[in-house]
Amino acid sequence: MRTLRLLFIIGLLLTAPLTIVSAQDAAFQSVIIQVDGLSCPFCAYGLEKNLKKVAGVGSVDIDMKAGQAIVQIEQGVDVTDDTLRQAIKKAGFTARNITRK
Amino acid sequence: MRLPKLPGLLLAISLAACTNAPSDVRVWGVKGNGPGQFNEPFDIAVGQHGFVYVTDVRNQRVQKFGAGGEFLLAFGQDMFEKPAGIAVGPDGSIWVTDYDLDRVFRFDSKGKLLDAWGKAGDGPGDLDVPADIAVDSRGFVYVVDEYHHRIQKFTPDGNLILAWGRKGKVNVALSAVNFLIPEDREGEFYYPSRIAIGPDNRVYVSDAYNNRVQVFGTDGHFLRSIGGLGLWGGRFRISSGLAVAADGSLFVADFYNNRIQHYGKNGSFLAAWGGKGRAPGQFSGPTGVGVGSNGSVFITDWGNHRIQYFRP
Repeated sequence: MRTLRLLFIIGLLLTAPLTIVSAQDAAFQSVIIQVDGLSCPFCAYGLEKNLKKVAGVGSVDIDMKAGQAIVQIEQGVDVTDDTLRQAIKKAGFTARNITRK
Repeated sequence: MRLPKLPGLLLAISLAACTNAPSDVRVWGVKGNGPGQFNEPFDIAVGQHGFVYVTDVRNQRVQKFGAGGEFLLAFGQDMFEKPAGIAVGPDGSIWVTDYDLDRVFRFDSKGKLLDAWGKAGDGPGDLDVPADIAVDSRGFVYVVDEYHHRIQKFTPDGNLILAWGRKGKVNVALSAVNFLIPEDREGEFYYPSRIAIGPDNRVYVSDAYNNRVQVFGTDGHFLRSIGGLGLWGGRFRISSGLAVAADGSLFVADFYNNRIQHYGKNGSFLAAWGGKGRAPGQFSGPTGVGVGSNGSVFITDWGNHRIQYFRP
């Protein structure tokens, strides 16, 4: 009985981080935006700043090589494509395809 | 005769553009968040006694080094969101702009905060992406207000004195042939990136997306333009970091051509060196340049997460 209890606790400890990670994943929706003209950090940092100002946006990663902004949006917050396109336009860029995962 | 293919031709032009590579280029730093490591080093300034200060963007700090790259201290981690431009004032103060916070910070040489000012907005004196900063010999502070496409000049405590510039994009075809037909839009900017003050108090601004450097008096009057779009020596593909040496010559980081260019006091092209890569003397997007009082030139090699320096 004691061994069983020990195994249960170990199992719980091992699976708890996975549960937390999947809960974090579920808390955000990934949005990949193809952006024209992303060529240097002076503009990439500006784009990052403007996207972070949008209510509901948790984090922003810019992949300059791929010309993509990867945006994490809080689940349950309605951030429309149009809102994202406006933020990108304000930063001086044009958004192309927007893919939600 | 068979003509070379376009990539080969571009490579040949690029190689022909690079001259006088310094023989003794030194390097420090690798990607990381430890002391002396970097995650996107963005700008660099050389202060009194040859100390070197670097904005380390993703680590949200400024790092201070000895003249040979010895790590001394890091500061600002609890204040910065995205430290961008950096300059050393005539009194030895360290000035830093924050891209995201729209703020200007002033520190002493030990990293103690002395002052902070600036706010987001669109009015006179307000900031939207303060990309860089410079201080003239009288202590006046010049901020590149990138998204307003202007330069703003302040007293050391943040009171606006004057602003100049407005949004203006030079036609790329005109820019590429501006040695034949002078381009227009003097005093206008298209996403200015960096600023430096010369020993004669002239103000040099990297007008990044117009692929040129514009030179002004301290009252903002236009003096001359240097560069234009192109691959060969003296031209730019996104002008970025710049610094003026004691002899008045100018060093400019040419971001997409991955090289450093050197100009005489009158703006004449002297030399260019670099190329894309990881070997010493090669770059992955240089973004900042600083010159020490002994003439050493320091460069933030942004994409390689390191600093390079040499004596011309």
